[in-house]
Amino acid sequence: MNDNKEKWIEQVLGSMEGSTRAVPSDQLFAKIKRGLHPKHKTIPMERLRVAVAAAALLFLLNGITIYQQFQGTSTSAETTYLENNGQNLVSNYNFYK
Amino acid sequence: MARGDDKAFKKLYDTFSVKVYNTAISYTQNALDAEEITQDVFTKIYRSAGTFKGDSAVSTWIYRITVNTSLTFIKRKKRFVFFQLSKTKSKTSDFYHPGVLLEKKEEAKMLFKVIDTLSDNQKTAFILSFVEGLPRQEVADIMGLSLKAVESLLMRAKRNLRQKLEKMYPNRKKN
Repeated sequence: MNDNKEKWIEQVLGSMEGSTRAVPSDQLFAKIKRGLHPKHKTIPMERLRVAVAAAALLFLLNGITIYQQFQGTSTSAETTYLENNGQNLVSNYNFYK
Repeated sequence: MARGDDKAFKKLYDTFSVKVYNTAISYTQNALDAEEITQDVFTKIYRSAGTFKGDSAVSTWIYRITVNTSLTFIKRKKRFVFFQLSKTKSKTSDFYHPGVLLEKKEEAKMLFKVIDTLSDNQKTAFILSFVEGLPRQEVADIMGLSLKAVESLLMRAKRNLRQKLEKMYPNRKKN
């Protein structure tokens, strides 16, 4: 049992003996050259995602703020109306009677 | 090349691309990641060729860039996976080195699985010595260590690999 285990470990540790090197794809050099002299500036996908998320957040916050503003205006208008017992804020536009 | 000579760059690429890629794939255990590292390494070489003083051999300099780029790439990727922003989590346990002999395929798979558990220094010493097959002195030059330090790193790496493999032995068929 132990002999088998030792043998197996030695086989694993020496498994790269006689192997050849891994080779990159043929298109890699062209890709590297394109990266060195880019015709068009490319934006990484991650950066684009962050930008879209930030824009969406900004849009949402703006929407909430506008909504709250409207809500606030109508609430204060209602309050004033109620405070005046259902009467208009300015009922008489004459300065002097 | 320092003056932007594209022919010289192509010649350098032809000489070193396989070495760079083979080292990178041993770290990342993923072909796409290894290509990304190779691209990154040659971009760095192209842009910093002018700063190369010739204190060391060109191959030492290139291997050093490759090792550093690979280690940084792995750290960045681990952080990225931690934050779960990436859906393409690499499955290192299923990695088959493309250059390995067919009859040693399964053993090599186990080897890469345990290499991945080593510390950065032990991993580098092991990959450069036993996957890239570099002489110990060149490994020492690349890592900026003494020959003795590299030998000690290799001894510890082998001991750690052996311990991990002993634990894996009963389940070797399942892995």
